[in-house]
Amino acid sequence: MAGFEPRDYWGLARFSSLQTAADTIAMVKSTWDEKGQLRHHVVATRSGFEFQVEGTDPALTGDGRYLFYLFRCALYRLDLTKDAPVPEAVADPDGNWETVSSVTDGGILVFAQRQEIREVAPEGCSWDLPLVAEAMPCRSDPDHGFRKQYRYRLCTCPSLDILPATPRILRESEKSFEGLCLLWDGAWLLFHQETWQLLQLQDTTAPSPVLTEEAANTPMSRGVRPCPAPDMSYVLIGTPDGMETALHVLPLAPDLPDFTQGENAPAGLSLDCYMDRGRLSHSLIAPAPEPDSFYVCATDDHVPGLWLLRVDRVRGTIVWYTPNHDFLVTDIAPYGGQTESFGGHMAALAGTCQSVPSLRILSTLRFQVSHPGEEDNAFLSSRTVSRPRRVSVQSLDGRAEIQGFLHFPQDTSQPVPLLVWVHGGPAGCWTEGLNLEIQSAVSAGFAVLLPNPRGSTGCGRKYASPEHAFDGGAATDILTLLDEVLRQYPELDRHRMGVLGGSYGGYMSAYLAGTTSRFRACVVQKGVTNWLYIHFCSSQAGQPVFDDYRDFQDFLVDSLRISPVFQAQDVSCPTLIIHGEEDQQVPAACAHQYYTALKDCHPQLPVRLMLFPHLNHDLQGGHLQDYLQIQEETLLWLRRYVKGENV
Amino acid sequence: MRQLCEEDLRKVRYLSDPQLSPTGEMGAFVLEKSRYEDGTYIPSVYGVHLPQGDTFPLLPEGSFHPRFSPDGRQIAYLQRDPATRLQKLHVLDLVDGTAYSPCPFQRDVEDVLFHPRGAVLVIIVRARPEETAEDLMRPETPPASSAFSTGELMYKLDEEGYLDGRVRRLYLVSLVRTFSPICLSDPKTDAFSPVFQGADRLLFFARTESRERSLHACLQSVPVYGGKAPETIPAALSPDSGVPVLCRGDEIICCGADESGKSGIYALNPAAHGERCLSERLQGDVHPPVLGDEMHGEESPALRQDPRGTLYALTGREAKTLLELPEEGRSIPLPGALQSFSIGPDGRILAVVSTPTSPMELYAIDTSDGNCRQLTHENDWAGDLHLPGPVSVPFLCGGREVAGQVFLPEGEEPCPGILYVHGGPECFWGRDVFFFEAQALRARGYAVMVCNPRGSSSYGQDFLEGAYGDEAMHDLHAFLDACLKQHPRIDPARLGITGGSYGGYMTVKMCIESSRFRAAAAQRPWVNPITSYGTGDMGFMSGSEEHDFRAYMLRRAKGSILRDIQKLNVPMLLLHGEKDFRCHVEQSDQIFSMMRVFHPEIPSRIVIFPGENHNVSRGGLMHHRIRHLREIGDWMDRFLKDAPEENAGKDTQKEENQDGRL
Repeated sequence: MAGFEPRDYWGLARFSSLQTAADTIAMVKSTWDEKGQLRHHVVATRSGFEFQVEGTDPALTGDGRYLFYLFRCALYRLDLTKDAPVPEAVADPDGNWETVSSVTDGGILVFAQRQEIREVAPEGCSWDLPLVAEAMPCRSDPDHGFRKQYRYRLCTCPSLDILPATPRILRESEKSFEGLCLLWDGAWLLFHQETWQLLQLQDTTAPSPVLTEEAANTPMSRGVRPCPAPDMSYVLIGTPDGMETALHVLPLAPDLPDFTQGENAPAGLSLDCYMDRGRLSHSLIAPAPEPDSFYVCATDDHVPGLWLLRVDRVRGTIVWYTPNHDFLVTDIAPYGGQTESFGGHMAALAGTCQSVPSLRILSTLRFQVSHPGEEDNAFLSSRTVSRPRRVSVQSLDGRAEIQGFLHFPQDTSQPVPLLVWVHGGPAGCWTEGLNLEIQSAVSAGFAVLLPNPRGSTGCGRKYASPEHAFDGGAATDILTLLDEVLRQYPELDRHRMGVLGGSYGGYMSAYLAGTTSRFRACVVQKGVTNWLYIHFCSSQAGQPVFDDYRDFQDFLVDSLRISPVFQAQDVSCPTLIIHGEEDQQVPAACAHQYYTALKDCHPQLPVRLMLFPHLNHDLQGGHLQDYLQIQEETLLWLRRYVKGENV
Repeated sequence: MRQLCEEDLRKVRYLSDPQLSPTGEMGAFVLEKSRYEDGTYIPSVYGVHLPQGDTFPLLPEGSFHPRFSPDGRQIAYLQRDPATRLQKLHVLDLVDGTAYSPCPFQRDVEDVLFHPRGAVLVIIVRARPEETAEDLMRPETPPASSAFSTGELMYKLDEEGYLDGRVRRLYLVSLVRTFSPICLSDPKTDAFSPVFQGADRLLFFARTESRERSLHACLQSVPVYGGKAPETIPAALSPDSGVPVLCRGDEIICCGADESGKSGIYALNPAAHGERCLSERLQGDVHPPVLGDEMHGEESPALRQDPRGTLYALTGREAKTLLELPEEGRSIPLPGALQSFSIGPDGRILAVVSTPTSPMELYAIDTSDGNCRQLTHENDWAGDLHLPGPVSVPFLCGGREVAGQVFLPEGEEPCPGILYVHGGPECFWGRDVFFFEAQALRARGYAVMVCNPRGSSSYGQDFLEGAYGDEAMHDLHAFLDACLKQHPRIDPARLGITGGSYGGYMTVKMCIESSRFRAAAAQRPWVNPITSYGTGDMGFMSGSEEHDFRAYMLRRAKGSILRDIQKLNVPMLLLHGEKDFRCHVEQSDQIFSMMRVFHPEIPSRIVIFPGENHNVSRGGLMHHRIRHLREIGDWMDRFLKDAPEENAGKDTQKEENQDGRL
């Protein structure tokens, strides 16, 4: 059995965007090609049949016959009744528009498009035109620079038997159309555009859905696909709730009680899927075979992760479907296919601490799982995977139980060097899910502590409050947990410890390196080192963050004082600083300044700066080679300065 | 006659790097034209017959850096090969047309110098410290990673981008490759500006200290043949490495500063351990950082000598460029602002000169009688345009009488005005330069006012104080008052302000501290000393007297003009190069951010130019420069000419609150 290395990512397949209809399952499989580009393929499967095509955002018609998907911003259709389906393009009403999402039901297709509004260079000229803005926020990380401006529209094909040469344009707007959801077999479209709105698409005898003003103003979380109840009296959505995403009922009938609130409500259901956020969607809510019930991938407020639970709407009860919390479930959808067991079934993308989430069929009577698609990620079975231990400690102020996970390498015969790896956010969390980057560090001989200090999600709304995320409170939680872990596990070498993290984790690593001398090395990835760059130069700039201050100069100086760069003089450990130059969330200026400060203060201290010209805040979002280089350089640095290896 | 417009910038032909053949019968210069499709500049070497004065294309398109051999028979030049993209060295025999390719390296050649006896040349190529000469014969291996990685304190410079650790090396090569290149400088040390001392020794500047701590370079000497290591030349004075030295007999002529910091021209005699000052009678400052709005072609050495050993210095005094003979205490009258020059055997000078109404032309100047003859007419197109020169406006600068200039629009009616503040601050607006930007804004109907307040150079040492205090600001207000008084047609209710770098700082500062202006355009500004540390390429704690980093940063923060940023209530345009390493783009981001938050009802606009550095408006891609200037003109038009905007600048693009996760 071999350990993990960063280059294992080449063989990794990840799954998302689960969709089902009847006995057909569709999902997206993401892999890296030989050039290091991330490629997505829509996989459609049914007993005895599997088909793959490059694309994303699968949408199945209710009978499972047609599959719609996006490829390079164009919409295609596959007829899955054919043995070798051939993609047919869904025409664009007048060309030059990108399709961004689609829904289909009852023989109707609705899709949302956008067209970039931008200057164009004269013909024959290869001019790079300037970025221009007159309003905030102007920077966007997905756009690698200034926010692109678009015009938007909704289009429809009223019948799917023959794809029309020109779909009909339903609406045009300066604002985007989100959360598309078809109701009553395609008679109505529900969508979100600043508020929730309804649009009738065809005549129907079904009762008209009604949105009250309060319902219409419910905010929407983009990461959660709306899920209509079978009787269409409500739609389940995700709505922002502090730093988390709460499950919420959007009533479509007057006087429908919101069973997610009130006395009988299942308390604090959070659909936070931050833990493994990719750029593709996840299906977190699905109607259950049981009446008045639905399945939700949610957190349980105790141990961070996404667990599967069934909510009984009438009784207001929750049944934890993954009682041992062994399975992390990222997608859930009804399944109407044949299986060996009786009763209802759900399709899910689920993983464990030893496996990457992949397709499983769950029996709802008993938690029986069948696992089609074992071929992907088969290499994992030949690797030694470290299973994390749950660790916790009472916080210093006694108000909370600080949670975390601890990985051990195989060989603990000698004192084991330890890495404290801080997650981003701060509204994020470590889970027990298989994380190849962490496994590589464990395989390199490190124990890895993954703290979830206060401010992390997955442990309840109160725990997630960011109140102490930036004032040293979360740092104290981390150090308290570290001390507890060192006490509980004497095989850990407290004289050989390193600290690292990305984004908020990078901030925290720099903060800890400047306020303690316990660590022998530090790696700061895309970390916040000076809050002024966040306040004024990032995609979050433009917020009035200084309301408490009378004097703006005081605000500037105080922001500097609480920034890690201010403690540069006190840093004593070799530090590696990594950043993407196109990062709009945490500007690369943070890396430039922190690096310069460390070099300026400590001419003899090993300090290194690595800047990636084409990467934004998603260091995994460019070529895989870049991401692997980041992992390899990070591990080399830690092996050299924490372990003392001669590398 | 029509008015100038921004697009006319494409027509400008840039002349630079004039060279005179030692025979005196011929000269060469570089002519650059811009290319519409991609905005780049294409050079070509042109020749000029002397004394006839006719000019003609001499070398192929893409050629530049012409250098005559000592006997005038050959000309060396550089040219980028379109296929391999390598910048190659060529030598052409002007008599029989033989072409030579002396450099066997597969690297860009950056400089070339003929040995006094010909047949052998010194070249500069860049190499990694660990690369051998054999490595350089092979094509460069592309880097394995796209990342830039460093462990140096000084890892970036605006003029060069990220410093990748390569150094410039001096190699001796044979015209016909009779021997392998001989490395004359230390292969691990950056070396530049080579000069022969007689036929046996080569002098050059070398950065012997790690670039970590300073940009200081010392003067070194090495025997041309003999394989000995270079030696640093002992001298009490540190020569200024920005000015190539001259060798005259036993003496080395250089620029430098004495203990009090006063800069001058000195003759060093290392053997006699002596130095003498040659600039007692010098009127101006040597190596003047004169600003127009162009920066093209190779910078001219500020010191030259003719074959008889007479010294010439390019200096600046009270905003005029002078060509002085320091030892004779006289100066050559010039037809305008001197950009670059070269000296021939008979006292003839070939010079590129600009005037307020002509971008630049090549002139032959006779040093004995000052007779001046224009040789080129590359920018005659400017003669078809209405381009009146500026009018002088005297005013008091801290009690001293100086003069600024105003470019006045057509007619006599009231007109809006724009105060244009120069950068630096240790620079000066030249009195005789061609100022395209000012002319373009003038053509739009603005009175464009430029002056050199305290802090500017060419007015003596004492005048250099006061740039960041209130002195410079008072001077600018005094100048503005003088312009309004002398020219009452300039409407005090319709004044705009603009400037780049330090000029951008002053633009923001003056809008905070006064309410005179109705529109402002800050170009590549610097305003926040807290965030400029580390993002800009200059200013380290280790270069200061501070040893405590917290105290150092708090001291930087003190006195920041942002203290009163809420008072800035003028429509503000920000223009910046995306890859500016002098004043990082985060400085413009901040001002824009603060304007949107504190004054959402007041329009503000930020424009960022991809791939451009601090030189965006002077030497950037042509379409960027035109757009840069047009943005300023359009912005001023919006607030100084049209009806006042109502309620503009609403935040119509507030997107759903992102969850604020990092």
